[in-house]
Amino acid sequence: MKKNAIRILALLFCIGVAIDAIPESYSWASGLKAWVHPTLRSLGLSQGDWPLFAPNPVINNGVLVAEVTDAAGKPGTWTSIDWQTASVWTKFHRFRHMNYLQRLPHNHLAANDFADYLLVSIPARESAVGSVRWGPENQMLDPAPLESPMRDIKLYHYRNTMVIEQGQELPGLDQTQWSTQIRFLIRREAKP
Amino acid sequence: MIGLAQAWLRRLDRFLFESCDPQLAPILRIGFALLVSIQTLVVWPDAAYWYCDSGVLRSQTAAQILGPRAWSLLNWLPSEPWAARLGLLCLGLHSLLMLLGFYSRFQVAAIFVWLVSFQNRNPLITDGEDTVFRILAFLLIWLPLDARWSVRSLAGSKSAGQAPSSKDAWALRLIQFQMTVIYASTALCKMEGETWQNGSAVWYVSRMTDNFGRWISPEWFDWPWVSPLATWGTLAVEAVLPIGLWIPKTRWVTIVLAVLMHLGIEGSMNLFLFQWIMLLGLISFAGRSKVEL
Repeated sequence: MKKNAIRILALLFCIGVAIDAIPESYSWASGLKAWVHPTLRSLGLSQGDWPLFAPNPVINNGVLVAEVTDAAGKPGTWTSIDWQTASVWTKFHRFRHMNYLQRLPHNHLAANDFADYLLVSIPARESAVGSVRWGPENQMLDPAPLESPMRDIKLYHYRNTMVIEQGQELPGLDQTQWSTQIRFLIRREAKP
Repeated sequence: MIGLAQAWLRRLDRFLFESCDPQLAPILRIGFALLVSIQTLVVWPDAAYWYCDSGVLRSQTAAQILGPRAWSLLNWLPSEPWAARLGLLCLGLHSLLMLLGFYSRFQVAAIFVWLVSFQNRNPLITDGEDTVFRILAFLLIWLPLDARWSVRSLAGSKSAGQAPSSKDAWALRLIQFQMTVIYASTALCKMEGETWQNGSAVWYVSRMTDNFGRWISPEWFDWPWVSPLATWGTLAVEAVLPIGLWIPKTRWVTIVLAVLMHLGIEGSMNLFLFQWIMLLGLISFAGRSKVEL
């Protein structure tokens, strides 16, 4: 009885996992996968395929930037961590943040929630910089601190992409040209 | 026909119940518990940030992203920081008890439930590494984890102290199968990519300046031969692993290649614990197991 149960469990596991991990591009398997994946998800055993930098690596360097207006109507800016300059230790213990910030621009629902979070968290939990002020003799003054609560927020994704022309050889690190693309993600207003 | 089915069943039984090395189970227990502990400690300061409605993702949004089949214990608890911390505390406690070898099968079952719960509560922060953790947790439930180096074996517990036999180690086969599937799936996915075919894929990876450049500098990839070597080398290793790991004569060479590949990735990229959980999974192929089908 026990042996039979193990045999069945082993076979079902292997079949389920093998189907679930078939690459998405294999269209002949999509029907099977569509049936198996939700079943495995209910069991906590879903996995999908394993692209791991496939079919081609997607360069996803960039930061999120939020423009806010505070209670007094002053503008301010919040910026996510710049991972290029972060230490190995920061990249280790804040690894989840890196995953999150790389995925957020591709998920509208999550971007909504994140904008709402920033609205109530700036400036107490998330630091943001107010705009530069100018003195009477045109000298630059320190930015005025932001006053909570924030009135509204606009969230952008600044993404750095490489400029490589068709047929061009892959450039060396210091010859690589980067271009920054700014994509508007969402605008939210504070709820009264 | 019946004779054929019986022969097939005998082969399956030999494969599952007569050829695995049960001594590997305690090693997997210790490695897994250590890695889950590290994961839990790292996420602890951000418990409210990731797993509460006052954080960055509401539970309702997580449910919309994953669909109705994704369950989480956190959805049944109040969405408050204390509840998220309580869950992490349980996860940490279970992993500590598993590390010590105290009713480890129960501990790893609880770890599985918490891992699913946290991963389904915030799917935006998880990746392939979390999938491996979750599935290994499920498979470890069926292994004699406390057979050695455990509180229970030291205390002379009858059930824990009995030397386990090959028939208790059948779940090692499923771990081996899971590892094989990962390598096969990623090799198939990569073979379709133009950059993996022309040898430039790892050059592009080296330009992911957000998480590349741990100890291996991206400048190394300015040498024209480095990227093709690394790209085709990775692809070759990943394509060979699903077969080489199952052939007794090539098993150890294949394991060494896989270890070198994972350590190479660990040295060049910041991917948290992914390489370490993969190396742990590879241990299932070591030991005195006769891995041939």
